[in-house]
Amino acid sequence: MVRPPHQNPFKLVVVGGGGVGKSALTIQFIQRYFVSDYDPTIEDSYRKQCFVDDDICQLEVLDTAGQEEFSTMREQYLRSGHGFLIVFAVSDKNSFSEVEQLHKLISRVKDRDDFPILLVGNKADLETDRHVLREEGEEMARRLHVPYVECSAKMRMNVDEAFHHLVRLVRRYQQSERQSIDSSKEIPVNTPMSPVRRKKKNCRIQ
Amino acid sequence: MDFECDSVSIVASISLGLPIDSLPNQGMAVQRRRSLVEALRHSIDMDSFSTSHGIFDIRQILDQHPDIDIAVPIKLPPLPPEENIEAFKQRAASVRLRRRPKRSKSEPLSTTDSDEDYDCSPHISRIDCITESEWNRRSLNSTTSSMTHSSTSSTSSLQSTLAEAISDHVAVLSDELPFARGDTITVIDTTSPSGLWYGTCRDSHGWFPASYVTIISSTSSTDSSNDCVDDANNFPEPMRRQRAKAVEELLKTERDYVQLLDNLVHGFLEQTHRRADLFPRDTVDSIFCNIGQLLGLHVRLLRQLEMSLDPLRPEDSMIGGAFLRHKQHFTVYAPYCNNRPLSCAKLANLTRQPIYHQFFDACRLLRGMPHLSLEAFLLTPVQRICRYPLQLQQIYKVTPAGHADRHSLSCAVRAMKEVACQLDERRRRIESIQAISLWQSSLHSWKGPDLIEKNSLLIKSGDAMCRCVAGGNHWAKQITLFLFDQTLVLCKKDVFSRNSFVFKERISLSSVSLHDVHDGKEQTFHVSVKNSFRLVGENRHYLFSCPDAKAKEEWLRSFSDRSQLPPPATADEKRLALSTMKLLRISN
Repeated sequence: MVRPPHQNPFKLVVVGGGGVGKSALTIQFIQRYFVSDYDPTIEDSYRKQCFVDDDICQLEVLDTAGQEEFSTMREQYLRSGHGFLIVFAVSDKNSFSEVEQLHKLISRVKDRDDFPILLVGNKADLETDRHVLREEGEEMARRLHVPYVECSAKMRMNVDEAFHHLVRLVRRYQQSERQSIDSSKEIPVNTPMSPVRRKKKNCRIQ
Repeated sequence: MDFECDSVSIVASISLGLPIDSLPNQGMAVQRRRSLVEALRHSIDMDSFSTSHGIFDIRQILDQHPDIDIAVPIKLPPLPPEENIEAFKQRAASVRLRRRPKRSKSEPLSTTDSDEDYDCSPHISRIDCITESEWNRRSLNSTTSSMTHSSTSSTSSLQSTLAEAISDHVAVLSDELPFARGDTITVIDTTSPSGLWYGTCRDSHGWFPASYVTIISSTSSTDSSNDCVDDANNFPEPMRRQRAKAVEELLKTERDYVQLLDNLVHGFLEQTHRRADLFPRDTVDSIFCNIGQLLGLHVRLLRQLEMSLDPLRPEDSMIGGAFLRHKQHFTVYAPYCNNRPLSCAKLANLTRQPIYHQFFDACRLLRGMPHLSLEAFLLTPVQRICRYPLQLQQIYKVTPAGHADRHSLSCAVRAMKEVACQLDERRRRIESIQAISLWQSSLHSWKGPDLIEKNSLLIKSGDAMCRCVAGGNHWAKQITLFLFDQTLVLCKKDVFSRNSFVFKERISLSSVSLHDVHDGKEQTFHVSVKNSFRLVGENRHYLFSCPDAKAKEEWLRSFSDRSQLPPPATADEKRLALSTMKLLRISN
């Protein structure tokens, strides 16, 4: 009955500004359905099993709709997440400007500079309404050292790809972390510490 | 996923008294059932699940929470006298199976609300395992409304039906309702196929033959708002449809939420009490915190929402009031949200051990819950409380100006936002206290009472040149300032490690006054200064020189902004902050 630890589900957290389509993206990925005429309110956590690179994995997807304004509540998600989709809408400049802050928040909560994160530009079907160019998205992704994907929850474009990409990032990250634990014997296995842990810059209160 | 569904339906069918072979794929199902039972035997004391405790007989929800009935004085009807438990269970099963199918996410929402829309398949999802109180109420709603709909052609929301006694009824059994001809009876339950109804009359309640009464009128808990909303111009059809959907969505998610809380309380929390060897009291408390209180609140809230739901015309339902009535009670979320980090840490520790992992898995399977970790379930309240503003806003957007619910709905949106904001602020204060406490413990040679006794926020920190006259002593040093809401702390950089600080001095801001110092020759210290300000107290005089004009401006602004800070943390919050920190340190 006990699952080996590597079969534990990956917790993927979908974050982003209000109205960028976090829920739509999640619903489209899990249930293959797009709600167009009103904002859907969905279940809070989803479980999905899928094959990524011929390897089965359990995904637990957390949608964070409604938490945009309440930072401490949002942090509760961030702590438990193994990977993050930072979503903005290409038709909404404001949502794009929040990306960097979200990235910083994840880095702070996770105490890591390098964590499995994917930048997602949603609503890519709204070409005529586009306010964030693909190049701007790519530039931002380069700066944050994360991959960038444009997708459309409405057209079901690149939705699976985005989630699968993130799964690969999480796998690679967890593997490298396991290796680094195995290689350094001083660090006990039950306290997962990693050499990539961010150096404390200053003993100041953030 | 298949495994999940089958196990769940088997557990559900056992408890509902359905034959297993009514399920598809019988051979597989039996096999899976065995593995389930095996799993349970390993981790849960099977005796604790005796039939008297009925896994899905959730009638006890309300019995265990007597306070729940206060808000809405409708008592759950006891079983009709001549029905035995088996018959009751069968009825329950048939009602469950007849319930409308859960809307699949891949189908568009349907606005038709027809009672003929039965789901005859034996599919039993977790949604169907609703609390008994709930289905009683729901079936009551639909029955009374359709019944009265045909007899009185009224379309208003019908919650309790009034009936007049057409002949005397003498109560023989203790659970029968006595009344005399001409009495007015409030009918509560008409779902029993025995021909008996349940109702109240003259402060007592009980069962009576339906043929002894005649329905006279229906009262609605909602003010009849038909007059103003029937105006087609004001409330066009597409808007109606959207409002109906939004209202139904709110109700559906609230029902699911109450079901989840109930599962957590009765499916997990109670089971942990039975295994005190695995779960000492404080462990249970730190994992589940006050989840029972959340359940109590939401059972009450759901009840009022169901009462205000107009099943025939959901768009006419009055939603705002229920939230406004409960606004104050949402404070029960504060301890819950604040306890979350501790709960996560405890759970992460426990579930590393197979026995706990199996225990929680078995609890989950017995309750037919989806395949998610306990931690994910325990996170739901935090998610839910942030959703109300969204959902209410969504309903508000499609509520026309003349709608009777409009004003209270706008108040409800604001109220629920405020609730979430308050939780957020409180959490932030606690985190800020913890940060201060950690910072203080990182300082070398700290002296005096703890900072958090007076302070709850670090406002600003930065380097400055400080000149000081205190008593007869003079000194001048490059220091780092830490401005808190009530105290200014002066530190030196540690010579051995640049990143840590040595405590030098603290200045209580209430004992000094702040003065701007113009650039040029300074009178007290007889030096020429730039970008400076001073703090003057009794026998003490500090002169701070900032690196540049901008820094000085920021310091002066920070000092003056102190008056507009949010309220300081209460003693209770401080206690909580420190105890959580201590526990977290232990469990890590």
